[in-house]
This record gives sequence, structure tokens and C-alpha cells, in this order.
Amino acid sequence: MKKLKIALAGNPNVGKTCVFNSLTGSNQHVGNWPGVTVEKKEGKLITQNSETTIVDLPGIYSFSPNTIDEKISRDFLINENPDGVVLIVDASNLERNLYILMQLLELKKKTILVLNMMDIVRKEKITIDTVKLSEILKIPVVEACASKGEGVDKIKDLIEVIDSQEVSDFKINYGERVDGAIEKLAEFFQNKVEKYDSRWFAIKALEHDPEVNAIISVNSESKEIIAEVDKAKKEIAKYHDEIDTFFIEKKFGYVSGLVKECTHNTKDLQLRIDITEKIDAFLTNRLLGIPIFLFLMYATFQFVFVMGDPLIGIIENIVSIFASFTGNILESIGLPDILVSLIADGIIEGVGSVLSFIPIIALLYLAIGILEDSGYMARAAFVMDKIMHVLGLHGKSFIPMVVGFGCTVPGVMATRTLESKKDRLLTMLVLPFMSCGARLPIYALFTAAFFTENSGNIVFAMYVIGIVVAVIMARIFKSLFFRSEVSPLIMELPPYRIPLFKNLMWKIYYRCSLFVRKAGTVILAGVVVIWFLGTFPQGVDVEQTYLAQAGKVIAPIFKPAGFGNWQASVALASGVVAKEIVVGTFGTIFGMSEEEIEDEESMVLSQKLKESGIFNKISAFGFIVFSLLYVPCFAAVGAIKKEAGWAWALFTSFYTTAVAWVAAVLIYQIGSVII
Amino acid sequence: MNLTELKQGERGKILKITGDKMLKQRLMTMGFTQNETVKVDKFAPLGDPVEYVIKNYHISLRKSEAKFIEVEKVEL
Repeated sequence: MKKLKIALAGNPNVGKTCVFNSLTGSNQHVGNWPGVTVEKKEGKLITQNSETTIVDLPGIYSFSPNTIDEKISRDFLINENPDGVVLIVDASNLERNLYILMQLLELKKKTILVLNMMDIVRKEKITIDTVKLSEILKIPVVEACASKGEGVDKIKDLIEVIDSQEVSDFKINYGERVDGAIEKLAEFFQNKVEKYDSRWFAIKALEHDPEVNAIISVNSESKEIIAEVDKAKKEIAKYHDEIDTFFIEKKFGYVSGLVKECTHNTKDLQLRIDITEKIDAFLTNRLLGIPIFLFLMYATFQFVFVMGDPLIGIIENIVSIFASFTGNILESIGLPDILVSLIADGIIEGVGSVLSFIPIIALLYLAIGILEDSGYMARAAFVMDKIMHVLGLHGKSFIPMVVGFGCTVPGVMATRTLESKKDRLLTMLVLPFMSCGARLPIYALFTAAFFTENSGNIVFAMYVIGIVVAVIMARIFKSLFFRSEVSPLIMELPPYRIPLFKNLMWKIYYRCSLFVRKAGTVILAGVVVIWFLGTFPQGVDVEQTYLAQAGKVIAPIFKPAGFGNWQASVALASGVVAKEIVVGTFGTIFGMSEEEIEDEESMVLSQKLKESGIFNKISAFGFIVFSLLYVPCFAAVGAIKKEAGWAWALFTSFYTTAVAWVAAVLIYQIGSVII
Repeated sequence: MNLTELKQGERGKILKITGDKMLKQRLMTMGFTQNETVKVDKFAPLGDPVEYVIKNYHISLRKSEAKFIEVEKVEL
């Protein structure tokens, strides 16, 4: 059985994912490209006598290494040297889509050209002469409509025999003199560059390609090479002044001619009023654009959390039933109490707390998937870019931030919709300040105890404080870490399309399984550690456990904030695992049963909290502000670690806590003076 | 004149792209090449970015990017 490796390439929004799913079915694997957080999707296509690994390259417009996605794609083609490339193009927009093909053919890669979305082309009464196209380019051309399965078998057949396909000797004619200079330089590069096609290398050297320049500069004969390249440049400069854009112009020029020759259009496209423009008359309308966007975000938020909450409850119930059931069984077979507690309260409840995130993550990805696949996401960025730009963020940062009001974890995961790493990081760093749903019970408890008259205002203030701090920190980080970089908003606004159910389901499945595997391990470890600290030494009062002892050690830190007691410290420490635990911890500290804590809607607890005298009004306010701002839960840290690595996850944990401390201290110190 | 000077609905023929090489290349690979016609389709609600039509597709650019595209107004 022969083994093949194929790369799948193409512009964004051309149905590449759909082709990938049709080719590989359930045989998929998602990882990261080495060294970067860009996702690498791989799948297997197994036929009777071949096994093909299909690597899905990021959606790109060109193989020039100007963006990280472009760089990854080009490096893959050059360094991993796949047996061939399947290039998916939007057949209804060949003029732009075929540019990348010109680059691919210049790289001398065996290429199969897939004209996708032929249904649209036929509807618009455009005819494409695929036979002629194939003859001119000397590569196989397949008409396809992947969303309906058309052409998929043909692509599979062609992939199977790609090892015997000839490399196309198609060349763009750059004009006699330029071609002469290129040939001469290519000849000079022969045997000097192993991995690269010498003609391609020559063209790139003439184009000032930064990476090719870097390769030349470390070559032992770099001086002679540079001299030779300069000579060729001077030769070309006699006829064309801007050499670095000359090759791009020529390629587009050629594509333009090719499209004219191979397509026949019976309709005047300029007069066409399509559905997309009608929809956009509302969605990006100057007056309605922002209100509609805000409404859609609100609807997304409601959809995810209103539908998700009962599901979370169901999962939590199942888990606790399962935990006590397992606990009983383990007890009855005579396992020591401590082991039973570890398995039932530590591990099963820990796993359960991971699982309980799944409904909202699944629903969130359904919502994001619909927004993305329909084409609205680009409009959202278009409408919001100005505001977000002023705040130091990117237009697309808005979505993760809104999601963050529900839960930081899916918010962090939603930063994937941002292309530039800098924008992703910046958004992730300030995301924890968006007051998530799990913090609400803390506000509820404290407002019931200390601020009964204006509880609504206090809770609202938390949201506002969170946003203000996020904006301030975004500005600070931008000027500290990412000063020079302004990522441009060169963004296609693709036609609106109805999302494919199958693609959405794939997306949800991947996100959830990734979350369980990666973030799950971090949360589980954290829960077990806290269980350990809260249980040992065995059989002592709450006040004597390691957790309480640790609380006493940290307590002095909170003295300037007015809550330097071990109870508050323990509650905050447990909140590091999950903010939901904070209220429960206060309950345990005051020696209340679980029913008491839950049943009377915190009234008993809030009464006890008030009477305990460990907070006054000012330090109580400081405490909830601290709860809002300090290190997000384990799950969120786990998600940040997965997206950006340990360093950023730890940095986020520490700096948010520092900000929280400063805020709480300021509130207490200034507040005490005023009141 | 540069692209930001065109009003909504107006068209311009691209003469040249200035600015740093990376931005220039990115714009060109998206289809902003010499002699191509660009139409100003729509301004975002706050006036920036701007939606353009080029090569029969829609693209948005910030004004800070579009100002590097030199155009000549095309009368309909």
C-alpha cells in the first residue's frame, strides 16, 4: 500500500473545510503547527491501494510570507515537500482565486485544481471551459460543489494517482528580457539551493523575499550571490521600475487574461444585485449596523447561557448522583474513607466540574460557527473595528469579550477567530475582567449581607468596573508589549451563505474534545490539590486544615484591603479553582450544611457573614471587586495555557491578582478616609 | 488622489501603491493591482473602515491602509 502526503490549500471562504471533511470523514486529527498557535488539521484518506495523509493548510490569499498563515503554508510546501497540492478555488471568483495558483505552479508543486461552488457559477449563467483551463495550465481541473458532494470522488481518484502525475511545466511569460535575466540567475542558483526550485528561488531573490534573502545571507558564497542578484536586478530595472511588485502585477495580469479566455459570462456582474448586498443594506447600515450587532451579541449570549444553564444543572446532578453512588459502593466494599473521599469528592467531582462546561462550550461554538460560516463575523469586525481600535483591541475582539460575560473559558477559546497572535494575546489578557456568570453568586451573597438597599447598582458596578479595568489594561499592554504592531484590517467580506450543518457539528465536536483533553487535565489536578488541602490533616476542625493554615499565612496580605482574616483568604483561595466554590466555602467555614447554604437563597449565610464581623461595608465592597478581578478559575487558566502557553497563563494569573489587590486596597484605604 | 478621497459609490482606477513593502504586497495580493477599478461601496457606521469592491468581491480596509492606494477617479 503506497503512502502519500497531500496539502489542501486555498483562499478563505471557498469551502475548503467542506472538501477536507468530505475527503477524510471521521479520520481527523487537530494539532498545532510547530512553534505557533495556528491550528493544524490532518486527516487520512484510505482507498484500496493507498493511504493518503491530507494536511489542511490555513486559508490564505498568497504564499508570500507576509502573515503567519502564509508563512506556515509556504514552509510546509517547501520543507515537508508533500506529494502534491489540492488547490480549492471559488469558481465564481476566479480572478482573485487563481493568483495563488500561479504561485503554486511557480513553486513546481504537483497541483490538482478544484473549482468549487460550481452551483453558484451555473446559477449565474457563467460557463467555464475546464478542458481549456486544464490544457493551458497542464494540470487536472475538477468541477465541484463540495457541499452537495459533487466532484469529491473525482478528487479522490486524482489524489490516488498524484505520484504519477507530471509536474506542470507551465510558466508565466514575464517578457523576453526579464525571463532571460531570471533564467540566467536560475542557472547560477542550480546546485546552490537544494530544497528549492532554482527558478522560483531566483524570482523570489529578485522580489526581495525576506526569507529567501535570509537564506542567501547565511550562504557561504553570499557575497557572490548578492552581486549576481543585483546584476540581474539592474538589468530588469532598465525596463521596469518597481521590481518587487512587478511579479505580482504580472501574475494578476496573466490570471485576468486566462479568466477571459476560459470563461463566458452572459450577465453583467456590475448590475447584479445579489442577496448579500440586500442583507448588508441592513447589517452594515450606518445607523442600524451597531444596534443590530449589539442585538446579535445579546442574542448569542442569551442563546448560549439560557440554553446552557439547565444542561449544566443536569450534568452537575448526574455527576453528584454518580459520585455519591460510587462513594457508597466503595464504602460498602470496605475501602478506607480517605480513598473514598478522594475518588468521590476529589476526582469524580473534579471531572464533573470539567464536564459541566461542555454544554456552554458546545452551544457557544454552535453560535460562533453560525456567525462565522454565514459570513456575519467579518461584518461584526467591520462595524466594530473603529470602537475596538480606540480601545486598543481589534474589531473581532468583541466576540470573545461578550462571551466572557458568561464564562471566561469559551471566551478564551473564541479568541481563535482573531488572526494575529498579538490581538489574540491582548484579548486573552484582559478577558478575565469580564465579569463571568460564576462570580454572580459572590455578588449576591455580599449584596444581601451588606448592600440590601442598592444591590442592583452594586452588581451593575461590577460589570462596569470589569470593563473599565479591561480597557485600561489593554491600553497599557498595547504600549508595553505590542507597541509597534498595528495589525491591518485587510479583510474580505464574503458573500452570505447558509452554514452547513455537518461542518457545524464537526466544529463543536472538535472544540469539546480538545477542551476535555487539554483544559480538563489542569482543572482536575487543581481540584485534587484543593481537596487534599481541605481534607488533611484528617478529622480536624475546618480551622485546622492545611487550607485554613494556608489561609492564615496569606491573610496578612489582605490586611491593607481590610479583610486580612483567614476566612476571606480561604474563600478566595478556593475561588482559584472555581468562583462557584467561594460561597460554599464561606458556608463550610460558618459550619453550615449544604442544604442551609443553598435552600434559603443565601439568607442564612448572608446573615452569618454580616454577624461574623469579618467585613465592614467598605472591605466587603473591596472583597467583591477583588473577586471580580483576581486570577480567573483553573478552567480559564487551563484554557489560556492551551491557547498561549504556560508563560502567558501564569502571567495572567499573577497580574490579574496584582490588579485585584491594588484595587481592593485603594477601595479600603480611600473608602475609610471618606466614610 | 488616494483611495480615501473617493466618496461612497465612486470608482477609481489604481495608479500605484505606496507605503511599506509588506502592506503593499498584502494589498496587491488581495487584488489591488495597477489599472484595476475599485468601487467605494460603503463606510462603516463610524466612518472607518471602508468597504470596497474590487475584482468582483468585497473587502474592507481601514483608512490608514487605503490612503496608500493612489487612484484616479473614473467617471461613470
